Amino acid sequence: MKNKVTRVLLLFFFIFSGFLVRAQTSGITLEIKNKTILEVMQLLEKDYALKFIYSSDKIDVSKEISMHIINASLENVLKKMFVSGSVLWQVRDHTILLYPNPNQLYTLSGYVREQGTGELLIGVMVGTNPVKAGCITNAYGFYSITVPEDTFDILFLYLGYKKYIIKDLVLHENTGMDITLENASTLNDILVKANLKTTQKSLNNFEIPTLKINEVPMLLGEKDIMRYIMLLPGIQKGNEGSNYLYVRGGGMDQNLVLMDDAIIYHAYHLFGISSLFSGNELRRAEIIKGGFSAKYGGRLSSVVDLSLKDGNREKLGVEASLGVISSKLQVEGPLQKNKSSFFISTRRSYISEVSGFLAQNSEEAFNYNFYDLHAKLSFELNAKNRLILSGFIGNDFLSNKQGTIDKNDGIGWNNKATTIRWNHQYNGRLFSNTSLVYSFYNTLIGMKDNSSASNVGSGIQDYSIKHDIDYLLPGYSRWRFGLGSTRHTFTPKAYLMYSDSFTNFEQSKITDYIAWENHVYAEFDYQPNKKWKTILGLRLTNFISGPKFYLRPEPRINSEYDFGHGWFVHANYSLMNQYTHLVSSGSFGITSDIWLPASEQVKPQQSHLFSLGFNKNNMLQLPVNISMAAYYKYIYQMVGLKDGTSLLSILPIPGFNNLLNNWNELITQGKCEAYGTELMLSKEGDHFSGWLSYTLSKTNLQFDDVNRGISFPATYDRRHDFGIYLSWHSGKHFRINSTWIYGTGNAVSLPSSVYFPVKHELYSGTGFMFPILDYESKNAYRMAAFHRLDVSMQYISVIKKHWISTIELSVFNVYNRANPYYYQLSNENADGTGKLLLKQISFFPVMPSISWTLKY
Amino acid sequence: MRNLILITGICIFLTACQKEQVVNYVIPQKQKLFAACFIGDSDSITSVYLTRTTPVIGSENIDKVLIKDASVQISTFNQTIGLPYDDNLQVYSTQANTLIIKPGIAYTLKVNAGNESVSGTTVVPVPAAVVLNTKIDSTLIAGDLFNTYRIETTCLQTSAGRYPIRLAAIMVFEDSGKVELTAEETNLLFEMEQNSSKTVHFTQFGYDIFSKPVRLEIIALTTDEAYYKYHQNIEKYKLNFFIPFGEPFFIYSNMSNKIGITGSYSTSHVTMYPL
Repeated sequence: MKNKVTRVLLLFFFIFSGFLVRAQTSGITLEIKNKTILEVMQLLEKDYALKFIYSSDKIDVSKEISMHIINASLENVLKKMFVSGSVLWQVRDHTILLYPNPNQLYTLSGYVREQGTGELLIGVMVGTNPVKAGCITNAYGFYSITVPEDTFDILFLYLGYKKYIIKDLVLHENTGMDITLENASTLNDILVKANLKTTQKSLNNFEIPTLKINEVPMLLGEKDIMRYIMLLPGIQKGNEGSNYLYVRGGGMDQNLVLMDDAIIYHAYHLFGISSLFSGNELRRAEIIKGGFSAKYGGRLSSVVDLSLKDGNREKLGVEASLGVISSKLQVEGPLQKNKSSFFISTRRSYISEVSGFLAQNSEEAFNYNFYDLHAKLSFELNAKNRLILSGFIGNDFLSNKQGTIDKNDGIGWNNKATTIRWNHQYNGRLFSNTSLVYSFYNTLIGMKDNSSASNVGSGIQDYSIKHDIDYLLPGYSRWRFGLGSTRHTFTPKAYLMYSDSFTNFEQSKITDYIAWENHVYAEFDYQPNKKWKTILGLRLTNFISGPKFYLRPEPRINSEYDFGHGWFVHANYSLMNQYTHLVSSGSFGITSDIWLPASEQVKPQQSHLFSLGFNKNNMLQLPVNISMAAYYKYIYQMVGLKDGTSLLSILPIPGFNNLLNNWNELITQGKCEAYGTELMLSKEGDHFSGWLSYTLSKTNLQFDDVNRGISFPATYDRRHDFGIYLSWHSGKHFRINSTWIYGTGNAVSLPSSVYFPVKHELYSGTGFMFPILDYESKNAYRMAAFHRLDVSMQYISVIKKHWISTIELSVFNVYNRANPYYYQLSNENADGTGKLLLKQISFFPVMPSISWTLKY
Repeated sequence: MRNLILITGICIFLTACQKEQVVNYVIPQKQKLFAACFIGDSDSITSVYLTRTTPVIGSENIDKVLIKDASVQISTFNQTIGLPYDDNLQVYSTQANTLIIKPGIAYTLKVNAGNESVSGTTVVPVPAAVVLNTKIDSTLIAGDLFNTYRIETTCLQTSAGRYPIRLAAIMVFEDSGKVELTAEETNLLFEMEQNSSKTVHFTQFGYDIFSKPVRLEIIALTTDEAYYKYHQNIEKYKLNFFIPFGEPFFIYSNMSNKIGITGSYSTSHVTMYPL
């Protein structure tokens, strides 16, 4: 307002001053090098008898410029002096009135970091007061808002961090400004939880507060991000001993797990009991179940987008934890203070050592171990360029023999991923990232005796390049563009057999399939005002597998409206294609996982997902939020195994006949229809917080080659799914957390009766007539319902001012519920005689555990 | 540290505690009728095999529970035949001449046993294959006590469309005994397009020297879908029987209770004699 008044007064003075004659328009010659605008004006006033009138607090004349002008008009000279367009002028004879351009927009941009560590923060809400513009920091902590020249407060809000406000900011030019946010948790107030008061707007995506993961009680105290995610609505809970994700009726292969842009094909240790990510090593974690951005693709059901910590840019940090089955060490620090950093986190189990110690003889010991290593190097090359290198290795191995680890004798799997990323800021509104990614996953079954050995494995290896651009418009809107290409190498079956002395190959059979997956996308984030937001995206995907060339568009739309008073509604639609398929026999676990490409015979999977929901914050004037959403998902070309097949029919496991030479013979494709309603009720208080999630859902599958072509419930079909999380803390040192989960039992196929078939007498065939088990229908029965209560108590203290010690005592399965792991038909007697009985096999009884974490 | 190791040990021990409990209630006790009937032009009798299945839970042995007092009928649009139970053959049967079997006609099997009834329908297919040629490898016919025959036979699909075809070779001996020859190929049922041909090799080892073969019958069966899928499924079931962790197998059925079969076929013959 003050700005406008000044401008009007100056104009008024100028118009009525009585000197309104024509200005000099030509004949100016200047040779200027690195002089301020003020100096140039003084020179012009002196040499050409000109007079400049301006308000020094509105016009920045301190900027240095260089000019080489010969016999130019005054208009041209002024244009070169104020090339940015931020200043306008009126010329009357020898007098020039300078005033700010009222339509000039300026961009404030930079990175948001955590105070004390320099860690980049993703998803920070940036907005102006009064409301003119806003944005959220992108995956690299970059923000940009473009506003007219005026006085604003700029607000930075982030989960678990103190609000940061820049008061009365006036931009006269595009400005770069890095911001640091202070963590709400301090040494003196270590029990302050991650602040969840930031409103949850939709059940489609959840930003996982990584600090919270440490609070949730888990099996044997092993912290696990997947276990945390499973407490959320729409994600199936209660698969005994398994953290595989089943999201909104999708299969376990339909989740895209990304770590720093690299695809993690199998994000689990211990046959799915624990995941590769405990949470401490992560800077940010998000799960997206619907309303997908066009930048994501390749999977149908969810995206788990994880970012590894960059490492502390200011000082050395160490964190160590000692658990029941594994220990972890994390080290981070600056390579060059505030310029570059490193981060290393490693975990190793000692299951075989503990098992060997406890076992009465070596034959009873369980020779299994896993380890993982996460590492990252970040370099700030200059204000506009950053280079980030990150890597990851995860390995599990169960040895057949005790005492030694022989890769040729046991079952194992490993993941590797490396990413090189280059962040470049073209200007305050245009940001790009280029990534080079290598990703690898394989499984191996090795068997060896004194005279021979054989290895059977399958795997997938990717090389990717991708380029993403963020272009932020004034106000709230933005464009996103990107393209990328991935070269997949699938090895569904690798088979090596060695003869005596292990030198001669008896048989060697390795079949690789190479496929290319390419994409290009554009997305417009249209936000005309703070209340209404619509994201329109189009992703064009291409898959080349042998002679087959697939080209498919994927439209996406996501619309949100804020009605005020805490009411918020959203609706969205996503079309997704999946070109890589996991064929897995759920009952057999990791070693049966085979990743396969879409091909001429096996078509890409495609899904249509609709969802609609609302959110209400601060219900009844209390810090209680309620969110609800309904979804409908239809999947074409869902991949499944044909009736009667086993992955062992294709894997040439010694002792079993290799019945099929081509994996295409195992696979059938059909349809999946899933729909449901999700509800989440959450409360955040100073001492007490928690949430309740509930999902009512149905998932049916139909394949022409399965269950006589009749539709049947998916194994993971769940009618009811409850999750409750409660956390309470009192004083400064104690925290008690508990979770209770309940899920309808998994669908299971069981034979009800048995009979001897007959064949036509002209069809005698060969061999003995086997008794046939009559299953009636696939997945016709239900396992017992799953429910379990877990509780943990944490004592947190500060040791010698700088060390934070957390001792956790947790009890898994408090009331010792025997949840079904699998069902099995077996004879009454151990020697295989007697009546047939159906037995429920359960693991994981009540299990107390203790762990200790020390953080510097 | 010592306490920590102790607790660690307890936890590992508990982890190893696998708990089993009997949950027989999950599967209801069921006994279902299993009826199987194959209708074709080459059978001297038309028979229906009828049993009850054995509930899985609680069973110690899998017995053939034959049903002798059921009402079994085969009917067409203008004919209904009742099939009595034959104690010798342990099937419900009728002589071929009492039931006129023609390609293109629909035959419905109806079984009533106690409170249960099942039915299934089949349409007898038109013969779609002929035996093109058959060769006997005479060099293998040797030896004092046992001779070996290796026969190569080829059939041709002659009708428009795609049909499931089955080849069979039957050796008839001078004492009127019959033996179906074993094929070298594992799959004898195949679907054939028009004008396509298929060659199958049969081998017959060690027949009794004192009862010489007098003729060889090569039969090309054109089957209906039910006959084809049912037999294909049984073969696959056998192949996968010992492979662990397999998906459940559903044997094809066109009966109303989803178990059993009413299938049909037509034949074309070639007879070679003397051998």
